[in-house]
Amino acid sequence: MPTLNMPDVGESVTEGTITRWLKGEGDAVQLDEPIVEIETEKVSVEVPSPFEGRLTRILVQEGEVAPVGAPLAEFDAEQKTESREQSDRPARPVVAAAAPLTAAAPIATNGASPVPATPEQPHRTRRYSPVVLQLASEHDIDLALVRGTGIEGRVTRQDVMRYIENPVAYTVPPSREAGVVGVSAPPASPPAPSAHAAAASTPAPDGDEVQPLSATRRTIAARMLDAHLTIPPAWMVVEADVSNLVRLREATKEGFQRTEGVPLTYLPFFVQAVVAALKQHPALNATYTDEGVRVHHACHIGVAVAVESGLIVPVVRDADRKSIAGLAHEIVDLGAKARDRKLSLDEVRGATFTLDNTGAFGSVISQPLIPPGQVAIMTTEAIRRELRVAEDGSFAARSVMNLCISFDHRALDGAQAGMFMRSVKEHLEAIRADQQVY
Amino acid sequence: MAETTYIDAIRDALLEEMERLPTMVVLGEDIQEGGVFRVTDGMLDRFGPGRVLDTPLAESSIVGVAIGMATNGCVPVAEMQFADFAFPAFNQIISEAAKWRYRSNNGWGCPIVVRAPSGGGIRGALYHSQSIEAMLAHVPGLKVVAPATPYDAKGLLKAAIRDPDPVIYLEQKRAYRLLKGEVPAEDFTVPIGEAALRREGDDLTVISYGMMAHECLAAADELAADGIRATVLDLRTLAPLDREAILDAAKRTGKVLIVHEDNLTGGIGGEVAAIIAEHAFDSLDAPIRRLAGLDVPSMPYSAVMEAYFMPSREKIAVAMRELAAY
Amino acid sequence: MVRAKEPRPQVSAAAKLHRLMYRDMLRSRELSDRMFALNRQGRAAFAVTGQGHEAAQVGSAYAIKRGVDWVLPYYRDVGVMIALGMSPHEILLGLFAKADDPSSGGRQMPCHWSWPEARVVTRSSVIAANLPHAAGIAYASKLRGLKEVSIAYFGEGATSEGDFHEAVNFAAIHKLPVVFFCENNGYAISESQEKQMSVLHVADRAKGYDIDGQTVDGNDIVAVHQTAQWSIEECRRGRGPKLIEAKTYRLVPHTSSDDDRRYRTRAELDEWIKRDPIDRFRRRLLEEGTLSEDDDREWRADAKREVAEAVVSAEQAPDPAPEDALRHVFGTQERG
Repeated sequence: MPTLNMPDVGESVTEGTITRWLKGEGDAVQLDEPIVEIETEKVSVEVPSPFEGRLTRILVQEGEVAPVGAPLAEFDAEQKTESREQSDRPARPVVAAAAPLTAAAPIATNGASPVPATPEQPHRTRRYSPVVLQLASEHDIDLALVRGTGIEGRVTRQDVMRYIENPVAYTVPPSREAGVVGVSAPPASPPAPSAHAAAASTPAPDGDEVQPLSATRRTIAARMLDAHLTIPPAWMVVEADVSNLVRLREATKEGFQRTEGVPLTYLPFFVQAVVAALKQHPALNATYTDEGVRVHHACHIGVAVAVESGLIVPVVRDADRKSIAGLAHEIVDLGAKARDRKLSLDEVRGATFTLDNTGAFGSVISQPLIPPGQVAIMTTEAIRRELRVAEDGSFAARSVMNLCISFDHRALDGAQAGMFMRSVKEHLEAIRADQQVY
Repeated sequence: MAETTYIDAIRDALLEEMERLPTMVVLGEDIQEGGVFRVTDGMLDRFGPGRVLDTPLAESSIVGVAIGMATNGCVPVAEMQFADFAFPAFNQIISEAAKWRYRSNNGWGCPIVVRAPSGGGIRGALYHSQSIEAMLAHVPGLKVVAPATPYDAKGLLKAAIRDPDPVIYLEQKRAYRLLKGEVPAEDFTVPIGEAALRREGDDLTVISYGMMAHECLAAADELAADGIRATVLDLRTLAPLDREAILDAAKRTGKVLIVHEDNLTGGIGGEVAAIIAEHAFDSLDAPIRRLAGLDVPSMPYSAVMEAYFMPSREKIAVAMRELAAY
Repeated sequence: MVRAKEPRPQVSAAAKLHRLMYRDMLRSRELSDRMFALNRQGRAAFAVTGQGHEAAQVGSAYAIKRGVDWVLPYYRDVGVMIALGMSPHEILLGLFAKADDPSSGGRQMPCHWSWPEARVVTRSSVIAANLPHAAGIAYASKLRGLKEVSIAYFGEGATSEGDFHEAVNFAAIHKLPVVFFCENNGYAISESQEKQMSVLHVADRAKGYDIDGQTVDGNDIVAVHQTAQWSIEECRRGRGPKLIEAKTYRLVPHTSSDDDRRYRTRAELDEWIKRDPIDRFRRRLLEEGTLSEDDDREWRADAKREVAEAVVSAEQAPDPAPEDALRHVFGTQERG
């Protein structure tokens, strides 16, 4: 049913008052016949009918006010004039024509010609805006580590701000950094809510579920593949008899917990043994580059920690300068921070050697992937109570464990690795059940 | 506090100042019957034809006579019926008023106000829709304001009337009856040269003025629903620009979109962009963008062409999204 | 037969006035000549002077109530300024763009007059733009009930500008106390009058606005003075604006940048030199006994000396500081 709407009679007029209906309900109306008188702030006008037919219903009475575009009366009519005058008058005078947004009305910005929808722009990963450079300089950030969410992967100001607050979450680690360790156990990566917030998995027709890859997962996948493809690994297993270590720990762990407030695990002992061995065999504490093998002076040991979303490898810096107690505290601290996602940038960077306590899962043998930037990674497998034949031929129940090492065969040979492992074994086996923990 | 329309706020400012200043005169064409927009409604009866003056149809002398009145102790508020018709008066505004104090080495001042309804979107076509602020903001010696709200309309007009120098007061004609807002009854001014931070957000900054400030806020609302948070700065004064506010707003996000209805080239947006580029370079995270009226001789009468010319909340939202994603 | 004594010089009010006016004509001429010469010597970048206009300028200025009436002279009106009391030193400070130039502190070109103490209103180089100002000032005088008159000076070329018509129209509508004083010297730079207007006399335009228009011999200082005085007082009585056309002649080029040989003949110039208003007044005053030859010689020497001293003092006066260019774009106090 066509309606007569309040006409727009002039600039800045937004409403009008019906002063007099010249036709009543049920009246026949000719085209262009004056039908109603309205008054606005600027003018009083008679409105000629845009329809020919019958006025069926008056919607706004004399004396009432209606905004421009509001319906005033209904007709039973043939629209003789195309009510263009009516329809291109939106109720809100703000927009003169409601053209669809997208293609129809290209936006003139920075020039009269519209901006093309997909501009050809160079890949932006290495193009940094002034503010990004400024922030990087102020906070001593390696921008290559920062994940970019801008177009074409550009690192934005907000990306840097997020990275400063939570570097673990917003890192795209380059080949040198050990933020992620790949083991046959489920690998993981610094979690961030958005990074892990993969879109909901979609069910496939056969009942399978497709879990879309989160950004973190993609990153891990890329790094793992990179490590796998570029580092030629070799692998070795050594068995150590840690019976005395076990006895030592059993005897001292309660007192330690009471005094130190943190549990005494085997990890501090493992780290000490590794560090001692690295001092003797520094070639294992190195980074392989095309320009040469950089043997590190410091011993920063990455200690893998299992968190609910996977594995994180915080770094115990200068592990060679720490006592058992010191290592115990630090490992517990780092573990807690890792679980709470509060690790700082320094706490996940710069490992020179990595230790993964796969034994915690009950594993007896593992074949870890070498973290890019290091030449070796060692696992400590589960301690098992097994029968062994002693020197004198008798059987004894011993606590034994496997130590597995993967090493970069570009930088190291089996002999070097073997000697290192023998040192680790010797250090562990030299622990006496009655020695001082401190 | 009462809700007042933009036009009523202007009228109230004029009435209150006319009461306060016995030598204030409003002059222009059709002023006595209220003016073509009814801004000066009722003033003749209250203040008489000496102070509410209908001038001949001669823009140059409307301003020239106002300058003379100001020289001899009056407080003149001259009206150009439309900003589009101010050009014959540009000689008086630019060669005379703007330079009056400077050329006389502070021997004389020129405290005039020139009011003009400005801007389009009202089917006014080429000669009832223009924006003239860029041409005038370019002239040292002039102050140029473009209030976007009823509150600012009243406060800035009072400030203009009280200012010792020539102030060009560009009323947004589309706002007259369209915009309502809270306006205090008691006397207040809005300082000339001070922008208004309308909204805060860390994702991008939008700088605008006049009716477009409202369009920017509407676009910002839409984007907020999608988690994109914008800072919106309403310049209010175009000369002198509030550099501090501009730079603060730009530095906060590093991404700036400037929006105005005036033609793009040579518009205020270019000046704002240059200020930011020069003084906030290290804070920039994206190239500075401008969204403005097309570079054609003002907006045509046809509704579809007028809409094509004008920036709008829809177009602004698209530009804002692009910038936020950059 | 009683032999009449040598008549003592008359010291009537009129004579006093004439003597004062004559002295100022001499001073004005001397200053005009010197300013031009300084430019030709390369010591002044620009000069615009009033040789030939002295009667029109000095005569009319003497009818102004200094400090009450508002004066809007144009760049040629050195004679008006001298008559109002601006010293050659002060005028030359403007010529040399010195810091203490009262008109503009060296910001404007020379002879762009501004002098608040004498109500001489600042003006630009834009011809006729100040005529609406005169009308506005007069409107304010009327609105405020003040018995002031505005007098605006301009050449005949200015009467082609829209602002002239708008100003006269406005003043006529409201019967404002404005005297529009046209120094018609027949040339607007190079353009002779018939290129500028179709009317024979600028004063004829007055009819178009229904105001009083009078043409006066601009080289007859007494006639000018009387006409100006009548017009100003009529204005003061609220009788509406007046248009005075003083017909005169410019004996020098438009400014130091103009070469008048390109548009007028030496013969024409010589004709008008013969009608030099200073010589004419001198003859009259000598005849009337108001002036003696001694007076004349003495006053001419005085004028020469005064101007010469002023050249020295003004040229040596300090220049503005370069940073002064930044000052006074805006004022600081709120008004009202």
